[in-house]
Amino acid sequence: MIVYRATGMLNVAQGEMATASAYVALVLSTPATPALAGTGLVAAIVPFSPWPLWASVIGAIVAGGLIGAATERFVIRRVSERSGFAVVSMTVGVLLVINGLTEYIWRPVTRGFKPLFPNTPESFVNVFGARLRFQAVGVMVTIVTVLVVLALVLKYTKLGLAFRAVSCNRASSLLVGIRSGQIMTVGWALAGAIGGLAACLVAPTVLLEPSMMVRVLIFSLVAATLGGLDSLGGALVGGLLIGISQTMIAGYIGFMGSELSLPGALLVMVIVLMFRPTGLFGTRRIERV
Amino acid sequence: MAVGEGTHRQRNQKGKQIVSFSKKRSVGAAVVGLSLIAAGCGGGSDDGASTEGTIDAGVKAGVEDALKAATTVAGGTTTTAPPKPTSMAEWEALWAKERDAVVKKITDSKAAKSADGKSFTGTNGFVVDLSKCPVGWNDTEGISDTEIKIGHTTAQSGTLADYGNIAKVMQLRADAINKAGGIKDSTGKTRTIKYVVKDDGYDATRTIPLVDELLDSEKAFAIITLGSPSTMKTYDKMNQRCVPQPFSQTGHPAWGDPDGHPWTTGQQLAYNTEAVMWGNFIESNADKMAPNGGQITVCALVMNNDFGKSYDAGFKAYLAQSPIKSRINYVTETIEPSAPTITDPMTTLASKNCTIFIAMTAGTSCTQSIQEAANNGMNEKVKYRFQPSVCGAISFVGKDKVGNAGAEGWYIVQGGVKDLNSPGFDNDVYIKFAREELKANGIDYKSSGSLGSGYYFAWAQEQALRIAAALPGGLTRTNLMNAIRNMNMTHPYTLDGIKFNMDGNKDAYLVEGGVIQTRDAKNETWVDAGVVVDLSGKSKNCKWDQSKGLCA
Repeated sequence: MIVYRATGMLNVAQGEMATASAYVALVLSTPATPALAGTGLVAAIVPFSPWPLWASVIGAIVAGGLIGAATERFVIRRVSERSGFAVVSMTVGVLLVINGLTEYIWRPVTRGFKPLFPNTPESFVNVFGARLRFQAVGVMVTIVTVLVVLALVLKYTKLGLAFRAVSCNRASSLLVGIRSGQIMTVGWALAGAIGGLAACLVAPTVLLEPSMMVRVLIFSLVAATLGGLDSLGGALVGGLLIGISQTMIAGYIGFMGSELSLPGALLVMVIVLMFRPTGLFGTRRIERV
Repeated sequence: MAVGEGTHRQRNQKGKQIVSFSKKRSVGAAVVGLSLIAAGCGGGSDDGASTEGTIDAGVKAGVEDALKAATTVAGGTTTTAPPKPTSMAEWEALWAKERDAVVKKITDSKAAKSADGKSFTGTNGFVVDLSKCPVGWNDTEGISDTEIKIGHTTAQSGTLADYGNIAKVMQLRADAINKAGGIKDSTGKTRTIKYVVKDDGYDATRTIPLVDELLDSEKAFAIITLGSPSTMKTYDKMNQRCVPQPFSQTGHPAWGDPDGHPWTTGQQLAYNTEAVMWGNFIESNADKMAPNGGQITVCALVMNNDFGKSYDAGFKAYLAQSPIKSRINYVTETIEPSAPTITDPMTTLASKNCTIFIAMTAGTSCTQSIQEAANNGMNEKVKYRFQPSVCGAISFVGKDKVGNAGAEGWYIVQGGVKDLNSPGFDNDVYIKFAREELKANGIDYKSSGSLGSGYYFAWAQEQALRIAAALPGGLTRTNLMNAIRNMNMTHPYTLDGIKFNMDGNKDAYLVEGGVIQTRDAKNETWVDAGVVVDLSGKSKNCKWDQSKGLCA
């Protein structure tokens, strides 16, 4: 969605890029062991390894940024002029390539990932009898903080203005002196970096394995579509709506069960899009005739 | 006292195997429970027919017999167990002897195809109607003078990709067999094994075209499938095509149907038998969990596929005949196999005041269920928490996956097999061999519990091929199936006391036993919390009714 907001392109490989970044964090934070590829190399060439988790996550964020930038520079840019469909197709290819590489390098084994926030059995607060875990609070606060900062950057900085210009009309932005190529690279790098952070946040719950984010992809696409592809806040609201709908449908509409909970949530999305094709908070496009 | 609690404490203090004092108490509790079952059944239930099907009476009786026998041992009666091989050479000699016995049994039975080639009459009632096989079907398709081509669909990607390590070991073992001279045939030929492995990601919709590819393009001699959904979606076709589907890597009871599906066999402890052992455990501990006839809430997280449903159906069948069924409230939540998290259904179950929790899941959700139970309070509130047998591997329950507390205190019905990772087997000859072979091939044996499963399946397949090849006529598809259905051998990877045998159409399950264990997180292993129960020959054949989800 960040890529879409910054460059007008849809990147379905975002999850795989994030997964690869999470593996970087895992490798950086793990002592040398033959059970995890790369840890020996890291132990040999990276100072102070294994790094503490927080530093490893920063490493993942940097790695995510580099993966995103490289993907844009060497893959996407070559087809970006053709059509949006070509870009989406290319990102599907990137998804498969990264997924294959992570499986090849780190094997298709589920791995534990330490949480960034306190996560002992006692790490929770009681809210009307329900347990609100510090881990969940920490993840939510981090996501909101990142989204707020990102929204401010997009709205109030020159970089944000350039993002919007490129995504709106790349040719016109070139005419007014915006280096659209660089802007696109930065956009993809930014998305990759945030994806790396997101993967490190979700990995302790979903568990790290090469297809970790494939399972999340459909939910994230639906959430972004529902909220509005170009709206950061919309994505957050869309995610909450889909998640809560799915849970409530399964819990309170007995005959639907878990089999129909996701289709039920998708039905909610379809109904919303019938009345608001750009999503709940998406920007309506106006074409000048 | 719960079954096994005393045992567990003794082990933690002494670090040794079962202490007989604890065993007596465990067995005693179990037998009391079983007597309750027997009383309940003998008294006649007014429940009538149950939509959940009926429990296998043979299995139940077998549990009782096994526990009685165990009580006798614990009481001091001497038994004469056969000496265990102390080297791989001794193991090989034992297997050669056992193979010869199976070959003799089959040869003496005069198993053969009819003169017109339209039927195969095997040993002990095993019969295959070959007239229904496709035109052009060939008993030796997939084998040449020098090679046996075996197809294998498995999960090498996705949430259950860890199971792909089974194929890795099977390939490794095939390479070792080939290097050592291959499979010698009674016709004088010597063949190597060639695996063609296809990744279906544990997605049955992907398995179907992959099996087609293995049938029609690769023309495999036999095809092994992994997982209940994948095997269920392909076993009709495999049987219509008269192609062996041996040693399916799943414990669904449907693979015990030699009449309807003669070309398909399983190898693992059937899930419905495992469910009987859960039920037995609950009955044995009912008064401890809920004194004075109190209510027991059994909560289950059921994976919404053939795998999870077979557990669910087996457990419902047990409850339907249980003498304490009026005390049991069975609550389930389902999860989709592709669900990224299981937080929602686990949170719902946490609100149900569960007395017992059973995870009827596989793969990543095994680990997630342990994490969720630690997070949502079920660890403190739920007295007994069970993982399914398929989740026993360290790759699911290791500390690095589930956190520092590990899976301490969780229970499991161990499906009668050893644990490659357990320090308790450090001196086991075959386990040492397996670990060393893995190490020699650059594989850390602790990296996945599925590596051990690989040895479990690979050994059986090797022996079956050797037996079939030694039969009159040499290796053919019909000889292979007859060989498997008459195997009676000592599997080096099963627990002591667990038989590895079939008997034509009379006994359609190779492994029918297990033991309840509890997790010792400190030592990253499972320790016995009861006695090994072997039910060999007790399980009824299962003609699976897909519409009802139970054995007909």
